[in-house]
Amino acid sequence: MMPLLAIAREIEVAWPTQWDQANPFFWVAAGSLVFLGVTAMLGFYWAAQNGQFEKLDEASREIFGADEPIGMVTDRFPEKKRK
Amino acid sequence: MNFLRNMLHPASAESAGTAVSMPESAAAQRRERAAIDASTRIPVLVFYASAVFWLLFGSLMGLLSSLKMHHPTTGLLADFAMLTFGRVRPAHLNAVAYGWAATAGLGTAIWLMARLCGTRLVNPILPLIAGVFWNAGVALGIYGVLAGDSRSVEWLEFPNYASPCLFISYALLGIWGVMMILQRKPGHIYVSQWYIFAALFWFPWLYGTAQIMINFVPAQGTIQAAVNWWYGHNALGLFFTPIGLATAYYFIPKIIGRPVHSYYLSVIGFWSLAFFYSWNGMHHLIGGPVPLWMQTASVVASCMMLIPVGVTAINHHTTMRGHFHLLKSSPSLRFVVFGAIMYTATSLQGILEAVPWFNKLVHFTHYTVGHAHLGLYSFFTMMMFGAMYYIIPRLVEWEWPSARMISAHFWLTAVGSLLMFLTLTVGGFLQALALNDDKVTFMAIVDMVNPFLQFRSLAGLMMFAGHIIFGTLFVMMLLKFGEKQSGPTTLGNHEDSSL
Repeated sequence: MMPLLAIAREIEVAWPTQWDQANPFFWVAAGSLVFLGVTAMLGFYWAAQNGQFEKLDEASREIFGADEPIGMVTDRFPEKKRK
Repeated sequence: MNFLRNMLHPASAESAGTAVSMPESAAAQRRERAAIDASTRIPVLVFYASAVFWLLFGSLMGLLSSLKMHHPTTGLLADFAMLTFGRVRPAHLNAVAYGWAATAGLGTAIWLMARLCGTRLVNPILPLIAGVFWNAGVALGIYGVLAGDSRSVEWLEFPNYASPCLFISYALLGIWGVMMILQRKPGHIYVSQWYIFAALFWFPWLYGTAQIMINFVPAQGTIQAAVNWWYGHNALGLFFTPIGLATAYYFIPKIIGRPVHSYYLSVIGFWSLAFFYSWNGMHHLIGGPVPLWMQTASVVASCMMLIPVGVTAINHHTTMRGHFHLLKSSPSLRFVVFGAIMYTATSLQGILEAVPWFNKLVHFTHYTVGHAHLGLYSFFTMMMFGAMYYIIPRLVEWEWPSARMISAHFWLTAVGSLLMFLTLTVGGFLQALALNDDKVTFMAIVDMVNPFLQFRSLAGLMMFAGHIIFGTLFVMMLLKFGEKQSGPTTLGNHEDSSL
C-alpha cells in the first residue's frame, strides 16, 4: 500500500496544479499518444476477430487471378516483349 | 489531344482487353483489371506528373547545394539571396521529400489500393482534389523556403501558410483510404493494403501533431527538438517505409509470378513495425538535453527493428530465390529488388547508428547524410521508379519507348546513389574520427573532407542525368511517342510469357 501512496503523491506533484496553467502541448502529446495506441490496438483486435491471421497461404495468392496466374511473368523490357 | 481523350474515356481499356485469346473467365478478369486500372488513371497521373516535376527541381537544388559545399568561395550564384546555401539546401530536402517521394508514393498507393481492393476507384474526385492541394502546399512551401520564410526545423521547414494545404490534402486521402477499404472485395486484406492504409492513417496524425506542437502552439525548450525528431523519423518510418514495403510486397511476387515465400513473416513484419517504429525518433538526440529514459527507450526500440527488418529481408530474398535471372528482363523488378536490398542495408545501418557509442562518434557528420540518402533514395526512390515503370504503361495504354533509356536510367541512378552513399559514409567516418581528435584543427578536417564532397557532386550529377532520362521517358509516354505496339503491357500479351 505504501508504494502506491508514494506513486500517487508523485503524480499529484507532477500534475498541473491548475487546469488553465497546463501547457497545451501536454494535451496534444497525450492525446496523440493515446490516439495512436488505441487505434493500433483496435486495428490488431479487428484483424484477429475477422480472420485476417488465418489461412495466410490463401491470402498470399490473392494478387493472382485467372488472367495473371501464378507462374506468369508480368513485366519485361519493351523490346523483349516484341519478340 | 489523344492523351486527354484517352484519359477522359477509360472505358477503351475494357474493350481492348478482349484482343488476347484466353478462357472467358480469364478474359473477364482481364477486362475488370483493365477497368480498375483505368479508373485510377487521372488521379495517379496527376500525382506522377507533379512528382516527376518536383524530382527534377529537387535534384537540381540538391546538385546546386552540393556544389556550394566544396566551392563556397567562388560565389556560385551567391549573389541571389534565394539561391544561397541556407535556402537551397532545405528547398532540396523538401522538394524531394514532399514534392517527389511523397507525391510518387501517394500515386502508387492510389493505384495499389484500387487493385488490391478489387474495386474501381471510389470517389475519384477526392484523390484528385487532394493532389491539387498537395501540390499547392508544396509549391507554397518551396517558395516560402526560397523567399526566406523557412521555419529552420528539419523536415518541417515549410512556413505556416503552406502546411494547412498539405494537411487538408492528406486528410482527404485518409478519408478516401477508409472508403476504399470499406468497398473492397470480401476476403483477406493483403499485406500491402495494411501498409498503405497505415501510411494514409498515420501521416495526417504525425504531421498535424508536429505542426501544432512546433508551429502553431509551440512546445517550450528541448521538447521542440524531441517533437522535431519524433516527427522527422516517423515520417520516414511510418509513411515512406510502409509505402515502399507495400510496393515491394506487391510487385516482387506479381512480376515473377510467385506468391510471397512466407506470408506469416510479412504479417509479423507489419505489426512489429507498427508497434516499435514510433519510438525510434529520440535516438537522434542521444547525448542531448532530453530525459535519458526517452533516449534509452528509443535505442531499445531501434534495436527491436531487427525483427521487421529481418523478416522482410528474409521474405524478399526467399521469394526471389531462383528468379534472379528475371532482373535482366524486367525493368520494374530491377528497380524494386534494388530498393528492397537497400531497405535492408539502410535499416541495419540505422540500427547501428542508434547504438549510443557509435551515435556519439558519427552524429553531426556526413555519415548521417549518407544514411539519409541510402534510405530515401536508394530504397524509396528506386522502389517508386520500379512501380512507375510497371504502372504507367497500364494507365496510358502505351509501351515504354526505349529499353536503352530505361537501362541508362537504372545504371545512372543505382551507381550514382551507391557512389554518393560510399563517399559520404567513408568521408563522414573519417570526419568523425578527426572531430574526436583534439590535435586536428577544424580547417584540416574541412580540407580532408573536401574531395569526398566533390565525389558527392559527381554522384549527384549522375543521378540528375538519370532523372532527366526518366523525365523524358515520362513525357514520351504521356504523348504516346512512337508506334503503338501489338502487345503493350497494359493489355498483357502474355501468351509467350512462360518463364
